[in-house]
Amino acid sequence: MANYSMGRKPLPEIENGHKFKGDNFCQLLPHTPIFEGKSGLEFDSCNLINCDVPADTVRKFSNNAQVSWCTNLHPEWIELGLELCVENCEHVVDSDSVIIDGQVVGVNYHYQDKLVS
Amino acid sequence: MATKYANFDLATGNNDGSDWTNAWKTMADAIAGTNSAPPAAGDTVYCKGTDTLAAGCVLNLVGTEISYIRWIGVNASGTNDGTRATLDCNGGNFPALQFNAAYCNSFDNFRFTGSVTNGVASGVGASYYLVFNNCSFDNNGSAGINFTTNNAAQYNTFVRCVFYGNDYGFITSNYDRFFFSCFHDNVSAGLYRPANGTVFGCVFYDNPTGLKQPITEVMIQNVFDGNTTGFENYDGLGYIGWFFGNRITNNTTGLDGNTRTLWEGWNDFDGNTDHRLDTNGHLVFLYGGLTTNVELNENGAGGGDTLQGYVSTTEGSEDYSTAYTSATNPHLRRTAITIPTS
Repeated sequence: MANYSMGRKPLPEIENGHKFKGDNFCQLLPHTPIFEGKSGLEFDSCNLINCDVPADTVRKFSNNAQVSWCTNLHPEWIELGLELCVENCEHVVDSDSVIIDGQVVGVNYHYQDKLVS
Repeated sequence: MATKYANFDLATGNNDGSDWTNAWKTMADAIAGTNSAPPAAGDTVYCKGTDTLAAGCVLNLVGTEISYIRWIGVNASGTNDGTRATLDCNGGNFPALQFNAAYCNSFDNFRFTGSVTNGVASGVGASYYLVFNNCSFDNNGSAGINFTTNNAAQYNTFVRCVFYGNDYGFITSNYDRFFFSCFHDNVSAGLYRPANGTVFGCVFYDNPTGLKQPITEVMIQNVFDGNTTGFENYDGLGYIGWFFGNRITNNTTGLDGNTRTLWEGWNDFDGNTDHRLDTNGHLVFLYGGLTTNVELNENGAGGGDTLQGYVSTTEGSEDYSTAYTSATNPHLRRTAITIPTS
């Protein structure tokens, strides 16, 4: 089990047919290719969020969703290169008005990371 | 005190939970008591197989302090041998399980995986006294568990659980206890802001931060190895922490004292680039000063234990059992602490 998430360390050199178990390959941006040109790979219980794996890859219990991350939820990823979201960004799912003495003085936004195709 | 059954791989039967032949087919069916009655205080529900979820399950069942509702994962034969029943979100944007005003439920041998958001979360109604034993919270896009969503779930217990491949392994709750659990290979941190509880005998490895900013927490006999920062103290107002008998090894920064007081002693620092970062001078030894900490030389100096005293630190086959190969290796866990009697 190893942590290759967000490019923190380089992907390992592997042969075709390599089997991974429990590794974390989570990427910052959707459809980031990993192990291009390899074949016959297997990922068991790996985090493959935002990864594009070779077409013949076998996935078992591996999360391969493509996600637009919100920096209002993940501010620590800005320094890794995630583009800064504005306060009222595309990830807002609802909001509450802040009312004092009958006057709206602000808005609290609620965010959710977004599944993308 | 009924015994009920759920088989997530079953396609036949009455789906009423009465026996394995007529077991409930999904976790949602089991919670709702489909074709029967929902589990009640004192009931045990044996579960097996994998429930691939199209929507998250919401658990709102109420046990009591003396009669928990017990959910127990079993193997294909129905035996409780540690085989986990799995709730797999399959890349869906919902938690596998959300607790909504749930009380006194326990989970043995369960796996919560594959969510884009949190694997397990708290719901609109506050929940209390949940227990998780030998459960896995892995490969979720946000946290393995987030007990700060909506109304918090509090006073929970985690024994021999594992949190890996999530953004955060676990995000804050209040009065939770973690025993003999493992937090590794998460994107941001292993355990984030647990408050007013205990972390005992746990292992944190290969996270950017192993244990990040606990709030008034007691942390004893844990291992922090191979993280960027092994342990990061709290940086907000008004909180302190207690940090004793831990092994802090092979991290870039072993212990970051941050801005709050941390009472510490009898810890073993070895193989870190920087053992202790104390920019604000808030690390406080309870007895004997710097030398109270076992094997601690000043920053960067090694302690001398072979492989820091572990069986293996090799990636993929980590084994943080202490390797007792000689009378002095490893240090700690054999260090006498004098208890005053007069």
